[in-house]
Amino acid sequence: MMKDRELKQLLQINTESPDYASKDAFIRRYKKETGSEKTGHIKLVMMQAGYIRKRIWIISLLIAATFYFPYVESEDKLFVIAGLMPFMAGLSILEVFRSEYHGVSELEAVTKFSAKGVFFARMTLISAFQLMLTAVISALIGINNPYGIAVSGSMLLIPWFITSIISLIVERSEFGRNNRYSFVAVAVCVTCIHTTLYSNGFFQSLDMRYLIFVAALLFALNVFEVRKTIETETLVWN
Amino acid sequence: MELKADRLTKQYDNKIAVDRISLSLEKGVTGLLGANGAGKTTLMRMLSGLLTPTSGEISYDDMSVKSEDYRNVLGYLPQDFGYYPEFTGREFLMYFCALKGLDKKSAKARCAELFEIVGLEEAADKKIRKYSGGMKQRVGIAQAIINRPEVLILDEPTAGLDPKERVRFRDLIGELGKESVVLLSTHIVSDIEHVADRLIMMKDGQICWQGVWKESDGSLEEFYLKQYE
Repeated sequence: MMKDRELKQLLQINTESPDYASKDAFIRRYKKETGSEKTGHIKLVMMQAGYIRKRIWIISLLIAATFYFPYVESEDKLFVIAGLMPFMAGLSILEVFRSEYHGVSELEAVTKFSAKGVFFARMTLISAFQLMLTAVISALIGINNPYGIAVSGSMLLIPWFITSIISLIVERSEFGRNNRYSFVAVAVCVTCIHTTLYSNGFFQSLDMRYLIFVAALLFALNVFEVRKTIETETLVWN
Repeated sequence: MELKADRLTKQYDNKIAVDRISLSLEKGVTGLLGANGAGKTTLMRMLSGLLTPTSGEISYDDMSVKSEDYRNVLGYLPQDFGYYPEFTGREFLMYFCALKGLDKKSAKARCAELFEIVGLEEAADKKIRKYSGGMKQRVGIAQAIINRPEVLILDEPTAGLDPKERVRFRDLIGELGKESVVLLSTHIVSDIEHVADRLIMMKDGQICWQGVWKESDGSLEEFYLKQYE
């Protein structure tokens, strides 16, 4: 039986290649008859993974690796990493809004997936990766610390959520659109407030269990802000 | 093949950019002429689904412009478009091939074909940031036709092209118009005169003239200028 490759070679030898217009017309007719394949969110997420810049993964990993930094006292580790979490959140915002900064979102919007899909896929990927890192650090810290894993996780997530929420609001504004690195200012402010509160013993005086509720509330607020951002006109598919 | 707009309006605060426009576009090239601020880009962005009309309806055959099916048959080149600075021309097109649903093998073949069409084979693996304005515009046109669109919306596609390139693209647009609904906006009358089967002129957000321009009607340029007096 003839193999596909042999059949292809035979056809190439014995038939002339069609001109551009006829080929176009044929492919279009074929696509119309067979119908186009519907695309799922998973396929888009997988595709976008290859287009996220390596520095985003590397810096997130380096922040998480602070846990192994020998010069930080073990009881301070949680607060030191929590103080770096705003930069992790800021980086994710920078990458998610990349299309907007470079003026590519309009082109992405008229593809099969739409700009809203691309935005959401990038956000899903980076957030999932960073939350996974946070979960690992929370477990490593929480095991040997009186607060436990859930409180440690909340301590790490609160500055991440606050930075993410404020950055999303800023990015939707004219100022955010014109200042690509506005997330740095937001991250620095959140880190400074966090460090000041820690130095003044604010966290230590709290009933730490309440932090779990605060983290849950901020998570809901973050979801709300992501939705609001997706619904802005530049990202909406009509 | 019919792209229809019915009483389309777009209002920004106190400014009405597009005012109750109704039109029907069929196979062939339709030229959209108008001075800056006439509402051409707003109209094209609504027809591409990028902007939500304040009121009115848009449909293509039986498809809603909100659907993935419409996006599958749509090609669009905005007036100003960006690119990721670290991308080469080929990576840029491969990225959009993936977003338009082409698998890797088909995408590679399609990219090679498109670089040949737009005459960029030599520069395909150079970073886009090193391209000249005309080369960037050619990559933009290539991305607009990746999916062999049935509806092709081109906003000032010849801006930044030298005279030789402009002629080449007019020919390409003419070819594409044989099988697609092409809407081509420009304020350069000669670009449209040679390629458009039909014309629409816009002024202050409204259509001030539409129809077929024949040579016997006289100079299009003079007629166009008269509309803006």
